[in-house]
Amino acid sequence: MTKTFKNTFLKIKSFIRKVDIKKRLFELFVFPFYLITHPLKGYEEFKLEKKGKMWVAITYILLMILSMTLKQTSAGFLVSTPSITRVSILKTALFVIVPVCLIALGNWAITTLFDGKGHIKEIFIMLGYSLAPYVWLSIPMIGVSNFLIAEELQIYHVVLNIGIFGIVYLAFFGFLVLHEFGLFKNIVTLIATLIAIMVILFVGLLVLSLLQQIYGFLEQVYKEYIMRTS
Amino acid sequence: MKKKLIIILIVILTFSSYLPIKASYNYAPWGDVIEQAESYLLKRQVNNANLVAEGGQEASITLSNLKDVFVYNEHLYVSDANANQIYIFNSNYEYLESLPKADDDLGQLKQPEGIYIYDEKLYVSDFNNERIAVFDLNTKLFVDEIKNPDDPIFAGDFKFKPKKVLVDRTERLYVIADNVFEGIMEFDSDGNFNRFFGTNEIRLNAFEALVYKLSSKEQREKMALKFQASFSSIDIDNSGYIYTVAKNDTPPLKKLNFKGGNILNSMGYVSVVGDARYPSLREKVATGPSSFADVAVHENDYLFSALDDKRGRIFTYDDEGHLLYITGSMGSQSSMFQRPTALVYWGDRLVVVDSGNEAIMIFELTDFGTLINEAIAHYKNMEYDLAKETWEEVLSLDSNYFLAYAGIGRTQLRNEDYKNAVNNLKRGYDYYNYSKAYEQYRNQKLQKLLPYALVLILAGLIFGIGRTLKNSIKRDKEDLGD
Repeated sequence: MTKTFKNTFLKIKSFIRKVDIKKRLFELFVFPFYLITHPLKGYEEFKLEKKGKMWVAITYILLMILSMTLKQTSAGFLVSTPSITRVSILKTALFVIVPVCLIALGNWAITTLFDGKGHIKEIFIMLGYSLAPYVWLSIPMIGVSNFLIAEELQIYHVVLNIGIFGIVYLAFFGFLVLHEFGLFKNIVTLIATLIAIMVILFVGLLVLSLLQQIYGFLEQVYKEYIMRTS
Repeated sequence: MKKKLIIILIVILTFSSYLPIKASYNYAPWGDVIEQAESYLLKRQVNNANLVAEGGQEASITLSNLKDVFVYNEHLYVSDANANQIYIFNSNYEYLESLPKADDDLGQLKQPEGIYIYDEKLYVSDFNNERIAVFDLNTKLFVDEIKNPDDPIFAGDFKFKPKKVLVDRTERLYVIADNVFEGIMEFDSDGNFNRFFGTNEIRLNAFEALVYKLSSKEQREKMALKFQASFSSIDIDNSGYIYTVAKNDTPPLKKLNFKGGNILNSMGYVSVVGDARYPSLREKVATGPSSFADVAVHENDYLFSALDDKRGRIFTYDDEGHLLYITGSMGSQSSMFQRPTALVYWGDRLVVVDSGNEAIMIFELTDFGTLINEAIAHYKNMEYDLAKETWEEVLSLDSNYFLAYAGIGRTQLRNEDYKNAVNNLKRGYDYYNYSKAYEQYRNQKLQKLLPYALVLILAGLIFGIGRTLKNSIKRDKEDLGD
């Protein structure tokens, strides 16, 4: 009994050593915090020393989905929506993943025209990292919101807004450094990115409705054929 | 034997699910439509088929285009715009007589619409005679009239066509007239025009506002005029506040103070707009928001009902704006509305006149509705424990009635039973009182926990300081040792 226990303990220990949990924690928490305090220098290390990791970005996107879901299901009574029968984790996930992918794609498409130096993978990872401040602030605040009364709700809203500001702040400097742009050019490309996203959405909807019509047409042909032959 | 019983049971169970159990509806705190027990049921319908005069004789009148209804001294007054008559009924809904008398030359009416009675005087808005006719109820004779207002703003080809009339306790007249968009016309007790009152606002959407801003003066003159929504009906409560309803206006129902400001509370789950959810596209059913034809205030001052003539529903609210219950429906069955025109409270009864099926319809409270009214009355009279008990009875009849949970929670909050209050107010979605109750509940818990927390923090501090001291002493020793 004690032997098996000891064995598993040793196994876990060796696994932890192999995974290097200290380094992983550093990558997950300390480096994003370093990005907030030193955005320019941090993003240079992010790009040149390859300190931005894909798994961290994906973790933060997943955490963002978790935070959005928790906000709907576990936030305090005073800040929650009345009925939680319509919570859909798939919808929430799309609500996070689709904008991130769209911004990454749109920005990459525009910045290649503007001589930006960033790759699409870098942009995606950077967007994942920039969700970090919101995740850090919102998940504890959702817990705290259960203990707030109406007069104190401002705390909750202010902290969440700071989180949103953090997202914008990190993403803005991320674009600036990754593409090696000046301030003005960065703003111009961001506006162009917005337009690009709209174009992508428009084309996407167009293709979708076209496919629907083609499907409808084929269905009609099939039905007519069945009706005539039978 | 057993087999037979089982078969019979199965048959009953299968068919019982098809039995039409009629229920009313209401809105859940999150805006969904939920079923609710009926609060008012049609008790009596007076139409041309069963109309009798006093003493059981056949009545000599035919109800046709009924426009308005009023209750005074246990008598029911109904105006008929086709027969140009005001019919009077007694409390058994038997026909007594009609006004004006045939020999009353001055008092002959042409399309009477709204009626109001104050201090033994019957005020009739005589639409096509362009006047308010006043009758004395003792002599049943015409005594006075209020004609076209003698004021410079009504110069030109203005025609005074009153639709609804109302008299307050100082005998001021409030009149809603056709083609008057400035608001309610207020006359003093001598019949002179005072002022416009409670004007509705013109609302432009963003595009219209932009076009208006960019256009020149000449262009503006050519534009189609955009009028304020005109009121469809008014009523007054015992404190002198005037309730108005207007079609195509937001908000559709207002409670006006003397200055004309809207002081209606709207703290309910849905705002005071009638139906909160409605189809907007399908053609076979009525679309769009409710259009209120009339409003009536209960004599207790804290209940009021509005009549929607689009879907034939009566919405009853309390003075905080909670939607208490919904009654009635539109249809061609005799128990349904076709073209409801007016609504009035007779004690707890609701009287509706319908010009479509030419009938006076009397609704009476069910047990469920009575309990709700009682619970609110107890709360208003500050009998909070009784209110709680009544709300509990309401819940035993309909556990989906959210306001009952909130009502119980409020009483528990007053009785300082904070833990239960928090739970019930949460179920009743009463955010304001929940916050109050939770604040107290949290304080109670903090009071219990704080000593332990303080001891823990103190212990931590002592430990920390002790360790630093120990370390510094150690370092000093090492320094000395060097």
